[in-house]
Amino acid sequence: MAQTFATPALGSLPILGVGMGYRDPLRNEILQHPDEIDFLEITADHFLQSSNPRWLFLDDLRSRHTLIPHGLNLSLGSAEGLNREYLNELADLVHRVKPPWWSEHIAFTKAGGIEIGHLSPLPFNRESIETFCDNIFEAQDRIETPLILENITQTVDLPWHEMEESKFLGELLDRTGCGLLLDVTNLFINSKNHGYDPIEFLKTVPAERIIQLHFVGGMMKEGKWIDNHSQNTQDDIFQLIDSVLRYASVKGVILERDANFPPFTTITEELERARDLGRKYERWA
Amino acid sequence: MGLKEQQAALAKLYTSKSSREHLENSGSKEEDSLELSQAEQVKLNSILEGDITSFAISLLRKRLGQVKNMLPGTCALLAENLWNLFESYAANQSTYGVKRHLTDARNFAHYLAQKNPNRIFNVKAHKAVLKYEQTWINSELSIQFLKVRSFKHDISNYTAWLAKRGTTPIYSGKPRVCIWFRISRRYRVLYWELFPRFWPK
Repeated sequence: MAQTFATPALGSLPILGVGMGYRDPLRNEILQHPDEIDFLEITADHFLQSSNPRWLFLDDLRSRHTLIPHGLNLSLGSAEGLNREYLNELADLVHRVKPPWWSEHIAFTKAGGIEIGHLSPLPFNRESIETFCDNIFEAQDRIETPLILENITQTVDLPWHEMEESKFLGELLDRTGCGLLLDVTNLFINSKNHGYDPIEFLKTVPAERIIQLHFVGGMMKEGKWIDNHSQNTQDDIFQLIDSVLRYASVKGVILERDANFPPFTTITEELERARDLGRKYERWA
Repeated sequence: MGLKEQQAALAKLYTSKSSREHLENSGSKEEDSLELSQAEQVKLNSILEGDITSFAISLLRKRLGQVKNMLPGTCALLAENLWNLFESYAANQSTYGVKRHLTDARNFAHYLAQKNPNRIFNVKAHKAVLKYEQTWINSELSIQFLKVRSFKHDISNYTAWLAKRGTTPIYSGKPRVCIWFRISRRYRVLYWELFPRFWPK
């Protein structure tokens, strides 16, 4: 199926394949298995305010793999404005790493002088869209590398929604020109916890905007699905990845495992399974 | 009531137990005020017991997970008391900055040293673990750092055992002098352990 890209920048992004989030506890395994990892995503916070040896290690990592910086605390959804100190440090990191794109979240992490310490959802309404647009335009002025935005789990069902998430997402991406980092696990979790069909949701997202995917196993706790990034990936989530890869010409997929690490062969098997799904739809070789 | 005020109220509710109690009881201490209209209070109250409190507890669990990485031996010593102690420390205390997890661990260690639950840190071996881990955290947080500490026994292996197995081994091995040194933020912390080559078993 031919696809047109909304902006030349997104259309010309390179195809990276399937990789994983870089994690220090897996440092040796990652360095010893370069052929099984197409690219790495680095958590920006783990490399900000670094020592010289840490910067040198980052440069070495970059010489081995394409690195995609993934921000956590820019707080693009904050009505009081961006975390500007963080933006400057993030800009330095992006300029050092020279990635084809970088990513952040459709969330806020600070308000009223308080840092929440986690990604918090916003209501899907007009004011949220305007807030995001203002902050994203400022970030794009500072960091010219294309930005993609990640969907988060809707942990709190806020009472101020005025529209559906899909409409909110579509308008936000259209107004800002950003791509989408579709977290398939978060989509799965939201669909289970809030009772909707993830495939129907997917059909409302402009396919040409989906640039990268995240995936990892979810977990049931006290009757709800949660994303603690610590479980092996379930078949249901791989089926959803299959649907997404059939629908969109995704450029890259990242396994986002943070804890409870299994043997590294389990991780590489999950990567290969995702890679096979992409090959099925000729997304990469 | 715009998005800015809503987010400020949510940030307080997510991170402060007293703010959640204030909303539930509507009208306790002034400093816990969320500056909400009556209509907004009603809306947030409807999700307070469910979503907001669940999210708040998950934030505490996340913080505790990070602190356990920084204070593995100390947290192992606290065993089943760990969650209650951390909750009472963190209930109304937020963290800030890129190094928030280190700061949180430092502050929690300080809280434990002062509170000394069940006099657990009166045991010399346990006090040694806390001191050892606190020194590591302080060295990572400092721009420049030099500290020399002596321990009666093999503190690093003792702490590592405790962290992995959760059981208290015998505090033994050769006494040692531990040195932490950092010349500037641009360089990592250098660490040495000095111990006598020969020591009676």
